[in-house]
Amino acid sequence: MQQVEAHSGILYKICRIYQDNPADQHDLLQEIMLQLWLSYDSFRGDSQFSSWMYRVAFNTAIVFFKKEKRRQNTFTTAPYHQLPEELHTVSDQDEQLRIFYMAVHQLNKVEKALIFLFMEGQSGKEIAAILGITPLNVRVRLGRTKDKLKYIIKTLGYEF
Amino acid sequence: MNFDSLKGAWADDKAGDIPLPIRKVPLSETHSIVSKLRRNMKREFISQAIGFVFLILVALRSFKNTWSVFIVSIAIFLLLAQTMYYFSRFYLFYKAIGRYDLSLRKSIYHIAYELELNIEIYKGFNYSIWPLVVLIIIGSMSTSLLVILIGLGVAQIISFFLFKLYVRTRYGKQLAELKKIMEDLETEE
Repeated sequence: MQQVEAHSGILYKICRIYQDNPADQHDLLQEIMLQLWLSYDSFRGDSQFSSWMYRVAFNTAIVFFKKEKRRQNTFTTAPYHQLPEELHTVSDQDEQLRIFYMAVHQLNKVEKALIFLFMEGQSGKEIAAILGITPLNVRVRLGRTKDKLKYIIKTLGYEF
Repeated sequence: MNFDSLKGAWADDKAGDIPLPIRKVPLSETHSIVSKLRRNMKREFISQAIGFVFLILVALRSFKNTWSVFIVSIAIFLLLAQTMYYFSRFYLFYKAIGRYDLSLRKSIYHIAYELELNIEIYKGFNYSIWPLVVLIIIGSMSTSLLVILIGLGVAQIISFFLFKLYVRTRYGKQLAELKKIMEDLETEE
């Protein structure tokens, strides 16, 4: 559990990405902690601890349905989503993160995992291993997800 | 704002400074679809065991004649055999489901496949036991073959629609979402 403590920031960020409500974030965090505890025997040390933790955390977050609102897949980049005439510039880091999380909540579960791993600085190969898809697939999907995220942030009224 | 500035803000985020709720994890209160399924299976097993004892007591107290004793005894035997078979299947599923250390694609595929398979087994189990339960109850109370046959038919129809609706209400939304994620991950770009 010391290793989990050392990576606790990762868990909080995953919970914030997958749940927008603080109570649900807390519930998800507890669920991930429980699954990490129960799955620890499967960690054989032949991969990085953080990679193993990502797998357990994402798999838990994706099958966690409690109180989740039907927000996924409701966003589309279809032309009827009008961009505001004026886009605000944001320089404060906390405000940037707040807007980022707001936009990320409109992505679907796989896109959330992709953008999280990208933000964590994982390579295409590492992302592919965690998600179980090909590196080429990761590159294409990640590019598309980043474009979608940019667009969402703009529709929220902020420059990107 | 751009991805570089966001990555900087992300790296500086002090979310990890808050202590983790390690000791607050209530082992019985977990909300994943896998845990929900496991909890339901446990409850189902206990209620089946209680129901079975109750059913045998009802049957033993109300036998009317020799041929109903024969029918009810056969029905009880079939019910016991089917229950044992299905619960051994559910137990294997209970032990196998919920590996969280696989890649996301494998994990979702595994859970969705096992969930769908076991929903079908569960439906099959209930379609087959409820008519037998009705047969035991009516058979131990009535001597009319016509009443028994009508009761059997009605129980079959009701159990078909009831359990179809029950599993759809209980797991339908989650299964549909898992399938959607699975299809999304399957698609090569």
